Amino acid sequence: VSKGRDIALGLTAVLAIGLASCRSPGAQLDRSRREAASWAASAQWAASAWAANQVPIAYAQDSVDLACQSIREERAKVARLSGKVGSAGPQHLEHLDRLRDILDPMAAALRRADREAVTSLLRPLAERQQELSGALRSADRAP
Amino acid sequence: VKNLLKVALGIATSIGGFLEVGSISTAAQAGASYGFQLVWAVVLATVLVMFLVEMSGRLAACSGHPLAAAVRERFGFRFQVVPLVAETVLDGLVLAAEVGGVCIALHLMTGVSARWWAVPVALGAWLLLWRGTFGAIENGVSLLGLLAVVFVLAAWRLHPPWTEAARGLVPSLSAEDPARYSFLAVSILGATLSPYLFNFYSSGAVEDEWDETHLGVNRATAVLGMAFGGVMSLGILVTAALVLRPRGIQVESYHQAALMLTPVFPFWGFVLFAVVLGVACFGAVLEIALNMAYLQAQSLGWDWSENLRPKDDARFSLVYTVALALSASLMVLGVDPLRLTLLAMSLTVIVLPLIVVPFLVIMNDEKYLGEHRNGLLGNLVVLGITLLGFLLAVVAVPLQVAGGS
Repeated sequence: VSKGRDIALGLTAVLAIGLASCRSPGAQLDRSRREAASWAASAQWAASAWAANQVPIAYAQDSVDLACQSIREERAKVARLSGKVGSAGPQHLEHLDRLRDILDPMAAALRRADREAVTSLLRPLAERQQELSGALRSADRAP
Repeated sequence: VKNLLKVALGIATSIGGFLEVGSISTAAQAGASYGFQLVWAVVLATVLVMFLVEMSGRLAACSGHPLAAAVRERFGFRFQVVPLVAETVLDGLVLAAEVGGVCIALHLMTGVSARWWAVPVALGAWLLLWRGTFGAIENGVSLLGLLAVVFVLAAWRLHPPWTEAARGLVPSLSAEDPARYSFLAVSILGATLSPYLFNFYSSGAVEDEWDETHLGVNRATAVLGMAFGGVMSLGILVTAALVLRPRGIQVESYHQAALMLTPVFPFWGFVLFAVVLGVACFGAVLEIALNMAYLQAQSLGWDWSENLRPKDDARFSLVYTVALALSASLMVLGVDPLRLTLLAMSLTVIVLPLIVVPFLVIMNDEKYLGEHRNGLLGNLVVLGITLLGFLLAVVAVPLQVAGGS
């Protein structure tokens, strides 16, 4: 009986924490930061792998295009949240815009197969990713 | 020597057939998002699948019945309708996800849009089923699936922190997005415990004319084959945890997982990933399409065998033809294979009790199993894990849907 009760309590805890995380705008903002950082890292890795002749250009193009599309979607989601998350919302929007300012030219450079242009954008892209990861770490540390 | 070869072949095909789109994507997502924290889910699912596969083979060897035929005979057709519909819908979703997996693999290798590959993939699978025999399909494609051992090799060469990885054997809650964590745990269970596996395995045993002398082969195949299969899933999880997680990459698309082998195999890693994904999913396409035909034929009392010519079991052949056509259509319409996979895997766990409970009743029936009925341990393990997975799924799936990703 006690084992059954423990399982029931565990599941209730999952439900409660989960519901809280689903509804909280702060949690949604965290998820958005994590996804944006993840897409930035993926695009950076795919582009540098192409620059090192490890993957076909179509893969690098797709990865960067997918990242651009996901960042646009994240931006729309965060815009809907603004007002509910204080100054963190506009700050994240700014991070997303700066990320897009690198990803869009990178996508164009890949379409031209311009290896030099792609290589020159790798470092700024890594910096934008660090910026997002840093914001995520600060949010995790906040009470 | 001949028996040993038979056992080795059985084990090899089980290992090769273990990995498919669900196990690859859920293990990669789990490792990338939560490190080693979800190791317990892979181990739990592997233990349960060992029991269920062993039971499926024992049922076929002792009674000459595959699972669906035994359920129909024992409980009647009216009862059979519910698991039949549930499994048909699930198999259809998983089949579409597997076709999608092959299409993505071909897209990664060629750059040609995944949608364009759906029809050729379905046609290729249909041709093999139409012209091939059960043995050729089971042995050929599953043996190719052994290529997935590259993930274990990669995990080994990345020198994982074993103590930290072993801590993942103990179930724990994650503070980081717990709804997604629970959903992934459920998806891992669903990916390993796909109902098609049990009916396919028992139908294969009937096709291969197993009898009670095959019980040892069956046990070795179920335990060793599934255990090694589980090790391959863990190989993917560990590789993702060591390669993707430190880079902050979460797997929301197959493109994000495609480079996970490159730190170990710099120039072959990308191609290896695509080939393993493609081969594993193509093997699963053949098995699931065939299982859908087995399931309908055995539930409705038609003639069935992959070893018969299509004109001798026309309705059987029609089922896999229609199933492949419908699954290809879903991909042509642009359904996201990764999302479809996760949906199918989580629904599997919700539907699983409908399939497992009648199965357990039959496995305890002396009329079917004689002296080889289930023991108390087998009943408790299977029922316990199935119900636990069901409860977790009932909570986690709505949460993930509400969470909106």
